[in-house]
Amino acid sequence: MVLSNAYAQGFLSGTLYQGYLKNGCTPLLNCYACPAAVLSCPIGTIQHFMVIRSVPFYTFGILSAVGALVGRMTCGTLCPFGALQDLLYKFRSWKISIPHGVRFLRYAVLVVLVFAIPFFTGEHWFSKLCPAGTLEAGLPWVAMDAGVRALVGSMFWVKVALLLLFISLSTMAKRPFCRAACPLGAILSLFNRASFLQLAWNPDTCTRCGKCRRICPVDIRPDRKQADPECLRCFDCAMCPSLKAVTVFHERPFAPAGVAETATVLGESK
Amino acid sequence: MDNARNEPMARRRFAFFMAAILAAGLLGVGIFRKEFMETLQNAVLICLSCIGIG
Repeated sequence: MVLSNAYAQGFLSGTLYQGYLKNGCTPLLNCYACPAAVLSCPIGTIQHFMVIRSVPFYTFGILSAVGALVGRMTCGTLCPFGALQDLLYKFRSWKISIPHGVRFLRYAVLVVLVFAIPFFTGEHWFSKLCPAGTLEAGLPWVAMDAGVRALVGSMFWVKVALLLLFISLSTMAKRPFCRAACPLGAILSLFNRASFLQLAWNPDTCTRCGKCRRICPVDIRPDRKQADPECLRCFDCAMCPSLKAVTVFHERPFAPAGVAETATVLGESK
Repeated sequence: MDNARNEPMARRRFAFFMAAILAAGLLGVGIFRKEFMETLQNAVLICLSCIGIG
């Protein structure tokens, strides 16, 4: 999080980092218009390629590489907007649960706002609405630069309203933006089943107490589906001895010490 | 007891290798097409849409 926003002098000088690091995309929803950003936003880059009617192979390659290695782990551990939502949920307030089906909205956001509308209209419509952009770029630039302040119109206030909506929702529900609207999460979630890093579950010791769901930042049951596309791979649930972070090369993650690993599949070995 | 079971790791390992090959292929094509230059040119300009004035 700090590494992708390491250009702190951007806030002091009112300039944007323009070095070669911006050749690369960060696997986080981290706005490249943020004065401190040193890497590019993958969603902004994809929209740009849609606008110029080209395929962003390079950006897809970076996201596929990260997804293939760690799945959605960057969402769970490095994303600044995700961390903010986690923090806001800790506030004492009325708590609600987000319906499971809401997850499909983020795929709609990806297809409609990131691919289709920019392709047909030539406008970056996800960026126009992105609450992370408002927080990391919109508010700092409006505060710092009188020229930008003079250009503020109704669209800016729509963005601020969306940011406030997600901020207030975050105090009540776990990670509402990540679960309902994040297009980057939608892309990375496609790799959860195929990632090098996996979650393993031990059916022999699990008591189905449901504590893993209460710990989980996105309210899933890791004991029911270990490669759930919702899973952020934060491994908070691995505090439970029945759940464990493993790699795809672990055949029997819960085998007692001294037992040789075989091709026997966990759970089917009995 | 529910019917949840761990999926065989061999299947996930195969999926991982396919994803890794896909990633390498996409990155290779992207680098060959010098898309990182286009990414840089886009990212060094202030994104007015991100700020909310574009």
